[in-house]
Amino acid sequence: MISVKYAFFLGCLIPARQPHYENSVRKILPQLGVELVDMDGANCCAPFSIQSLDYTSWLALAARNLCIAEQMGLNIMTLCNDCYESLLAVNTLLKEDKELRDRVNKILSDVSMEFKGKTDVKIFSDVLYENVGLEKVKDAVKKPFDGLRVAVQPGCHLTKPKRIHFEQQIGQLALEKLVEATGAISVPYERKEACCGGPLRGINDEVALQVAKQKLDCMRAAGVDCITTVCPFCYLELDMGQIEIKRHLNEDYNFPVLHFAELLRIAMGIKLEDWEVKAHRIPITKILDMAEAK
Amino acid sequence: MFAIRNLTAKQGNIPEGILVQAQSLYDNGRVVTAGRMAVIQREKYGLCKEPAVDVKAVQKILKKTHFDKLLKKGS
Repeated sequence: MISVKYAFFLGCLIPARQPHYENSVRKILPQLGVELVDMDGANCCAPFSIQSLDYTSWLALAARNLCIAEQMGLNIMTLCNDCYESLLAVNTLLKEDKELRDRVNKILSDVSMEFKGKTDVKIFSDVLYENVGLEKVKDAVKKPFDGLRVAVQPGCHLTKPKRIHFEQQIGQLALEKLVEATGAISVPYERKEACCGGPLRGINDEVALQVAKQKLDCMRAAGVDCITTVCPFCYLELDMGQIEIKRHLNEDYNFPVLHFAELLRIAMGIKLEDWEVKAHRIPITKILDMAEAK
Repeated sequence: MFAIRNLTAKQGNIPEGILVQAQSLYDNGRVVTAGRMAVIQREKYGLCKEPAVDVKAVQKILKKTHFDKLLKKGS
């Protein structure tokens, strides 16, 4: 059954705060022919905030992760938009620019590593779309979400910056097609490609909430039933954010937010456990009930 | 753009939230770490142990890039 194998880059946030996302991925991918191998010793991807502090540190830390995957002889699969952006960007830059590669390799030599440019980086949704394929995903769906109106939240780094992502992947389209493979409707809405507001957390929480609210207003105008994403930061901002918006801005949306891995898992008929259901701040009961009614 | 931001950071202008992340990266190899409860929960729910980070390797790299000095300036 296993037809493709990936080095599984978990990142920081997911194993620490969103194990329900990780668990769903670990449950569904082997059933779809994807084997995941954990990356021992891997460090933080070095997100864009680190890039802003020191560009060279960002390059070197991301490159170290790429080296681990090279040593494993595997391509990397990430679950997080930020990890994806960092690893994909550094992989592309170092493959293209010999001078930069030499500079980073000089740093990596202190930890007995060398970037050779022999790995590629994919995000979970692209692995489903490209390696598994829509037909196989559709075949795996046992409880289709007929008529469920889903707002896809692609998140910034699924598709941006364009100079890195251009022609390398299909990002948002893949996620929309995958949602439709579950029987649901991927609903068009304004500001779909806009940021969720999450990156402003810790810098200006008030603006972060306003940005999230704008997005949620557009989703409401489009008449969606729930939200799905592959990005753990968008998930956090839109799930927890709704609680905060209700408290501070007196606006109640009540849109369940599911990681796409969870939506697909439910559609595949693999039940979520109680702790996974409870991990959601906005209850997902109506989505579970819809699947149960099949 | 990054050159300007990096220069600002070198002068010690680092937002507090970012500084906390950066310090955690240096100390733990991760910007977000699993607390004791998360570790217990992972075990309870049958998830494999979180893959360990090679913190020494991370610190070696960050010393070489003088990231450690940047942290001192920002704090």
